[in-house]
Amino acid sequence: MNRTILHVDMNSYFASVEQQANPLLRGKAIAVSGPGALRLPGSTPGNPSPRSVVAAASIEAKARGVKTAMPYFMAKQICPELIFVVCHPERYHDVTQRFLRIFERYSPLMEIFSMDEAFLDITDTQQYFGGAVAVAQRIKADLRCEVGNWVRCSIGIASGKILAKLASELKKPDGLVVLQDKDVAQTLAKVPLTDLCGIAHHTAAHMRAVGITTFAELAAYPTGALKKEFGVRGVELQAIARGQDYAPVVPYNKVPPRKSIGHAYTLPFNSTDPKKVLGVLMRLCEQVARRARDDGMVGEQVSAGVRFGNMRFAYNHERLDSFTNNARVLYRACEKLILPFIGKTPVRLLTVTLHRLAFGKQVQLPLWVGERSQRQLDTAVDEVNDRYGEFIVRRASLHHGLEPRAKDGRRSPEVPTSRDEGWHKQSPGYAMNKRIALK
Amino acid sequence: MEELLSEPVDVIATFKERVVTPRRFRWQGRVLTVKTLNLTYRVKNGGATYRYFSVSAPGGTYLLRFDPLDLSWLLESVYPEE
Repeated sequence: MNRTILHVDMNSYFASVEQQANPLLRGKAIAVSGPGALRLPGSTPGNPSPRSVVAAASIEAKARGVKTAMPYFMAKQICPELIFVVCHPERYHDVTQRFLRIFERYSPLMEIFSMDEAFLDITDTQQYFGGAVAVAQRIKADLRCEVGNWVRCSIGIASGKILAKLASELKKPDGLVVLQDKDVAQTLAKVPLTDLCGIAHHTAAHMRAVGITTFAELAAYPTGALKKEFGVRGVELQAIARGQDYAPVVPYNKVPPRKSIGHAYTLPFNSTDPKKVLGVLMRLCEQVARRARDDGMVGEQVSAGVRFGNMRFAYNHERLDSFTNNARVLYRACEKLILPFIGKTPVRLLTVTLHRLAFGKQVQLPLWVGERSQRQLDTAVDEVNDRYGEFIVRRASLHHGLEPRAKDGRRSPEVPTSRDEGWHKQSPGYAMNKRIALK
Repeated sequence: MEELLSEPVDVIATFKERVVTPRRFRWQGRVLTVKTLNLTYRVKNGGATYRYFSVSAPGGTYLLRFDPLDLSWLLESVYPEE
């Protein structure tokens, strides 16, 4: 039996939520950026620093050419009337939970693809709601009613996930596109290769190099040669080009455990000062360790990376003596790993990742009293922070500059005041699913 | 531009079927009537869960925070009309 998959994509999500919250921003070109953008050197109230980037743009801003990840100064050149809005992650998180709850009314088979996208397998449930199109229309109506009429979504319906995603991209904003199996070849003929999820510019360039410029050519290419050039992924893409999209919808509660936990942080300005860089490293280790403890995970390998001002990247990793989720142990290992890189070339970004994860309950308890008391201390600190808020109890070395807000309302740079703020999590699918899974 | 305030305010609200809705609030000596409730959301901070209400009222858009633990209200920010 043919499957029926829905892909729901919230349009200009963060910006739309901001416009929903504030009608004075509706119909205007707005750019959402991190709160850190207002604390960087060169920023003035209402205008972020030249180093900040557009995290999300409204539909109106996109129409003027503003794109996600574009430097703010460039966006302002393209669109002088662009309004800068500080992001509110907690707002988006709560709205995401609400729309996921709406989706779940129509099928238990819901895969969270990102914070603003989800797949629904409604093959078996659509009959109860009057068909796939009726389900899509009901989702849109529920969103308008329960979240707000400014938060809109595009919905694609097809027999597979990737094709449904392609369908949802065909009409924005507020689209509803049904891609029938018989129309797949015709639709694919009209779009460039990069419109398909899974073919980015690098893969498209590789495909062009071997003579594939259209989906028809991809579908007709010898499978063996394709596998040699692009591996298994190439064969999967060819199947999709032939309209055979069989990837299952993986419900958020059935996603396999993650393989690593990582955080990265871009410094407000490039630095060669080891004290400053190691201070950020300590905070990154705290973040990684805290997330690992939250998930009941421990890791046996740690890696640390440095991106320099010239965008060159250096990376090192080490196998630890035992499984851990203690920040101090991670820090000691990471310090050794990155010290050789610090001092000569200015550092722009740092990353810390914990690998070879296992569930904490599955590994041997520490034998030494010191390690055991450290674990008890971590548990006690986590309990206090869970109850009274993040960073209420923290390491003394993190204390410097942690005042939440200066007199002028701006906060000191480099300092997160919540677990998420200003820090880029390297979240694989599981992490995303777990973080925004329904409560 | 949004002005951050975090000022305690008096609010008249309705509590019906576990739904809280702010109706009027007093700020800077004026009583402002809520015209529209634009967005509500919850934020967990430690053991507390705050309810946020983005409302339109004369003068602009206001962000109110309700703490169900001590029934207090804060005016978190104002986005004034031009």
